[in-house]
Amino acid sequence: MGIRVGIDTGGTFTDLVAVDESSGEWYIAKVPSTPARPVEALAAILEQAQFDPADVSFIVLGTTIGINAVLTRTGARVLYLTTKGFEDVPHIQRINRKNHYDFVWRKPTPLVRRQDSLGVDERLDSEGQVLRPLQPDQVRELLPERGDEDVAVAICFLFSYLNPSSELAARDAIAALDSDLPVSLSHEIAPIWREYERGTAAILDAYLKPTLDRYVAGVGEAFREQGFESSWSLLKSNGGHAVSSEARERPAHVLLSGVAGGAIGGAYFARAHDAERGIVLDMGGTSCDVCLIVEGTPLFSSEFEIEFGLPVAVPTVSTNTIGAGGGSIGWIDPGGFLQVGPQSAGAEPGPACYGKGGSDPTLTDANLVLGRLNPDYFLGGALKLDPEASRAALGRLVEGLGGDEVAVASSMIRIANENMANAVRIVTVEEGVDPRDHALIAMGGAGPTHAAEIAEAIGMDRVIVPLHPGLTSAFGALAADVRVDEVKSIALKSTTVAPEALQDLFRDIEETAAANFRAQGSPDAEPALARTIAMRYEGQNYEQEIPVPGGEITGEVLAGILERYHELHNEFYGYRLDGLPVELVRLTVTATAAEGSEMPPLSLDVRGQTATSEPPGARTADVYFGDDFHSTPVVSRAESVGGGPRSGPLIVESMDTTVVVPPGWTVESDATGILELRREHAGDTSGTSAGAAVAGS
Amino acid sequence: MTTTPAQGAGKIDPVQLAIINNSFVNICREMGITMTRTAFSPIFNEGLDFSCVLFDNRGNMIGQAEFCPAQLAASLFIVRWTVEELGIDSFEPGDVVLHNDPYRGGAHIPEHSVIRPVFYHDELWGFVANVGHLAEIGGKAVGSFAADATEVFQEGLRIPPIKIVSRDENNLDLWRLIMANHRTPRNTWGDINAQIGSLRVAERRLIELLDRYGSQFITNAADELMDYSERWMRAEIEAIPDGKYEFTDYMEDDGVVDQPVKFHVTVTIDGDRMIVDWTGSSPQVRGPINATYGVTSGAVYNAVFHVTDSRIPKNSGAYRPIYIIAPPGTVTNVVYPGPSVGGNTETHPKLVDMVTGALAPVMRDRVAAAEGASACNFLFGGVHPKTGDFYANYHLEGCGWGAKDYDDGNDATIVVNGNCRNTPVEIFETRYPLETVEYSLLTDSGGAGRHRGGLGTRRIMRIGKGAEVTASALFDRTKGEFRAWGLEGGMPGGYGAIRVKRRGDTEFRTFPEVFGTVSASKFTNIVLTEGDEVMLDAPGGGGFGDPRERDRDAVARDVTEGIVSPEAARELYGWSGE
Amino acid sequence: MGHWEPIDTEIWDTVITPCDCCGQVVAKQLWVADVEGTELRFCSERCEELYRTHVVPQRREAAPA
Repeated sequence: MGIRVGIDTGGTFTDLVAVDESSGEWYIAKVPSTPARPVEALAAILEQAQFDPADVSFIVLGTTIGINAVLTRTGARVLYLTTKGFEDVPHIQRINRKNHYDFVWRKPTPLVRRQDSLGVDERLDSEGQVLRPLQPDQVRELLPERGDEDVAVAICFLFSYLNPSSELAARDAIAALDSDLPVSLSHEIAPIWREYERGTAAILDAYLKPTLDRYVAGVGEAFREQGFESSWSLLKSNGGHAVSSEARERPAHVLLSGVAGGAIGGAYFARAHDAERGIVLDMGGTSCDVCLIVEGTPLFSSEFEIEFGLPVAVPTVSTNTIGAGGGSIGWIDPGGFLQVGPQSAGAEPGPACYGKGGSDPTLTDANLVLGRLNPDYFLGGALKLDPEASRAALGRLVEGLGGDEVAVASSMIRIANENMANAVRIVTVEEGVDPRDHALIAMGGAGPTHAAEIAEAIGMDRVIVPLHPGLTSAFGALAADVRVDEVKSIALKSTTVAPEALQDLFRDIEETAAANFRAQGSPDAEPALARTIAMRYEGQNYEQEIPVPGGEITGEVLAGILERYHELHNEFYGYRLDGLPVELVRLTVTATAAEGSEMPPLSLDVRGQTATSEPPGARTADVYFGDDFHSTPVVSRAESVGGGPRSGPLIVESMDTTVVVPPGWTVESDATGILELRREHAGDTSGTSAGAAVAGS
Repeated sequence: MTTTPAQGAGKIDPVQLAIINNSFVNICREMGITMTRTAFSPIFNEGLDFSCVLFDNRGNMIGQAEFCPAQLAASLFIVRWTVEELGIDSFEPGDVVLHNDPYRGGAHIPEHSVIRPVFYHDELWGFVANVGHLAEIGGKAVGSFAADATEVFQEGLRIPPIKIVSRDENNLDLWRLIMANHRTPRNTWGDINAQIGSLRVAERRLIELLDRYGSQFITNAADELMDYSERWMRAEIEAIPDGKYEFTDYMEDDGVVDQPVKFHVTVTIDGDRMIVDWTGSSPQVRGPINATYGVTSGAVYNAVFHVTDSRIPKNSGAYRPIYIIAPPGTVTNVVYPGPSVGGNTETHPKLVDMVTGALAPVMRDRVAAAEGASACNFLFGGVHPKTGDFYANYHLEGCGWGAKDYDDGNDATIVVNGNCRNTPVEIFETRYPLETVEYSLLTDSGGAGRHRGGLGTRRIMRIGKGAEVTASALFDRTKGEFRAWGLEGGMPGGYGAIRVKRRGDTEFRTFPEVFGTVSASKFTNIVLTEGDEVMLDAPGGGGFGDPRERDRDAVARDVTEGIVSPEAARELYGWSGE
Repeated sequence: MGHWEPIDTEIWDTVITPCDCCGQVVAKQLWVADVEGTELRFCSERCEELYRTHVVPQRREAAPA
């Protein structure tokens, strides 16, 4: 027992959320991020929180260090060793084009230079048999002289996911020559087929090794300097924890650390409100992340792309990010259409109403002019907003579009909402689910302001607003469970597989998963083990994960699993092919804590939260909905705890966000202050709030 | 050159229009995801050689997404023909029509379209369609790219528009007839079902959209979007100086007769319309590199979309100001029963480049030099020695793209008529008894220039133990003076090639040399056995501008990276380094 | 004023009637119109217009004086 701390280092701010497990008391803190020297912000935030280091039992850190290194191309020089003849795979890539009528687009530049892609004369066949064994001397001859720069080796041999022996032998050969040279093996990072995707995962891992190594060392030192001796870990892209040694050894796994926190935080609140199926919408200043929650946990995928053509085949929270945030700028395209984003005014100069010199109209400006934000209580009064500046900025678009500032503002909101609605639709269709059965979890500073209207556009009728939606990422880091995924590629067929063989294979993987789980700081733990088999009809190339029940795998159990596959395929894609053999290609075991980490419930009232101004009392304001201003009650979130249901239109304001309840919706609060919005005509997809002129069918 | 279309007298507010346009595009993308996840043949689930489109009930295209331009354009003709031939009243809810006929609006015979009417409250609102390249459809060649076919009957089973599904019931007799004529019928079953699955997804989504806004409203919105696109496209064309612009290019042979084949185009810009006239092109040839009207039109639209603003919503309105004249009985408009299977992948890209080449003098900042313009079609099949199952595969390669005034061309990218991916070696070898020996970029294959053309690739494959493989190929740009041309002093791209080294031989030679085929780039049904090796070289793209003006740092980098050899750097680029 | 004329086909036919202007094959009916004394068959009125406004003037230009 003690204080558990979650920290999220975002682009603009570093947030901290902590809970004292014995007293149930919560703490928050916020400092500006220090991208040039990332560790400084960590030291600063711990100072602000004023903990006694002796009280802190565990720290989890969500960080953007990995993704930033990739986006700014500041990682290591990678030496890519691969099967001779295939050195150009990272450069050839998949040959398709991002846009189908475009001469301008250039393929992504790989993270490895062509002259650093080196061929080794070894070869496995498609069954993992060795055709030509690896000669260690060859490997040694390939390594060039090293200078002062960061260098790391990535190894990807064809079919290594079936037989890792060549990659292991290569690593041994390198270690014998230069034990300090970091090496990433593709079969350890991403044991999947498709050499470009697996090779790129290994290259990415090597690319990040020196950066992560230094970062982890720096974080450890910063903590020690502040007197914190507790264990700490980084949040992984798939939502698990990576103790420092793992983060150093598998940096590819923490690439999307910063995003995973938001998804986990959102999932926590979904579960807290009995929404096993949810969609997290995390809308910040620049971008909006959308993520699917399935059975209470975020969905993971291995098909994330850094940019079109540059995949990361490591399990990451499956997020669709689009350029829609509070700072997204409204502009007119050459065809005369109004567009919103992806360009953003950021925090500097920020929206026009910030008064920092921004003159472009942003979504924040639009929301302000429509009466949805309180200029005197933004960020608790820390920043006074100037509605006249917003009007002036919007006025620049009135020229090209007609109407007035209010009409333009309303249009901007509708377009941005529709963009976000499309992001949600894409995420759900990729998984073959219907968004209308899901609750929308509104997060980020701007999420709760837009969520209800976005939900309506999609036909969803339930929105959940977590406590402290602006801090949900740090909260998610804290709430993340230790989680280990062990994966094994196999090549079995439904027509010939023996249940006993599956049983044996699983037993081995389960042992490894449990052992790795214990290594994460719980040496006596008995983790819960969840098993899945990835399957596809023979001839297809994409699989679906089918859960395997606990206990012995008998013939009957196996038949049940196969039937479930046929059912799911039919459900998602509209047909099943019972006569065809099914290929079983991958076994996965996920180890998690047997009892869910029971955190004390979060409350609205936390230590460290300071508003600059007095919270305004309940009042009425003119707020724009549909096509006109409506007299709308405004209440404070703190005073709404445990209350409701109340009908919209209604605004619920708090220090970190404004919750907009449109007409046709109701809102109520549970005992802790989590808000739930419900649409009165469930399932109706007519966009009445969006003001569409519906001519009728 | 930016243009603004005149603000139209639209009744629907532009915000709503933008939202509805995005909805149409998204429905097509969702169809694509469904198709990728469930199709059986690598040409679909890895290659992505299919396209998904939305139509209204008058045969107007109202939505498409980032698929293969050739299929997208062909769908315009295919759907319209289907509706005309069967009659608008012949459709019922739950129907699916199947069609691959090149003479009925199609592009080439492997392209199979499935079309489903979408009814809303008992009225036919529109159609959803999926056009996909089925890898094996019978005909004389394993893999159905009969590179020396002289008539359509040799190319594969030709299917006029027929209802393969009526009121959601499979017409099993038709399915059985079709599958009896394909070499890999199980794949046909799985792939066409996947296509139909994507149509069902689209139908659901379209109905949701109609529920949300009302069907008349969406019809009006679609009409306005088409008018909007038309206005914008007219503005783009208006901005090009009026005049006639001509270009001539050649295919090196037609697969049957070893003679170059001439293509000629005159592009007329007349105010706000563009007329592209292919008069002067050779009469249709014996071998299958003839283009159908659908291919030729598709190439013209493709070219125009590449050089005009990419944000114009792509619907029938955008196609309206563009007219195509292709005299029947020429290589740009083949007449029944002339063959055309190669026209879609080998002829189409050349036609695209001819249109952009013709316009290059007045649109130099929008165009690119010629691309490799070959999909490097390699078809093969046989009985798998390990499983005893018959397999057939359609394999293609990316080629180098042409350089531009402002940038180099992309290396190894699919031809302009497509948007397909390559098949990973690991999937390829798991399915087929061939071992890949090499897959690499070809140094020096990018046409030299101030900006260089993109590189082609080399792939070498060896026939595996106990395997007998029947192979066909359809390439171009392997000989003569017809490499991918450059612009403004840029040099041509490197040659493509397909060569063979028989087991025991020491060097690769051409197929005419070893097997006596008429053409080195087009042949069918050559039997290769264990230990034989095949080398596929994809052509490079043309350069732009004088190579001696290329930035010296860029040349140094090209040499360090091995993109350009030191010798070529010295000789062509005037490089003085070591 | 032009008029539509159906194309007669038997069930076994592959229709091969092209438009006299653009060349594409027409499915079921042709737009028949008189252009400068000659009766021509088009795929649509749009093509008749193209013929009058582009093909005819072009021919006139190309013809020897």
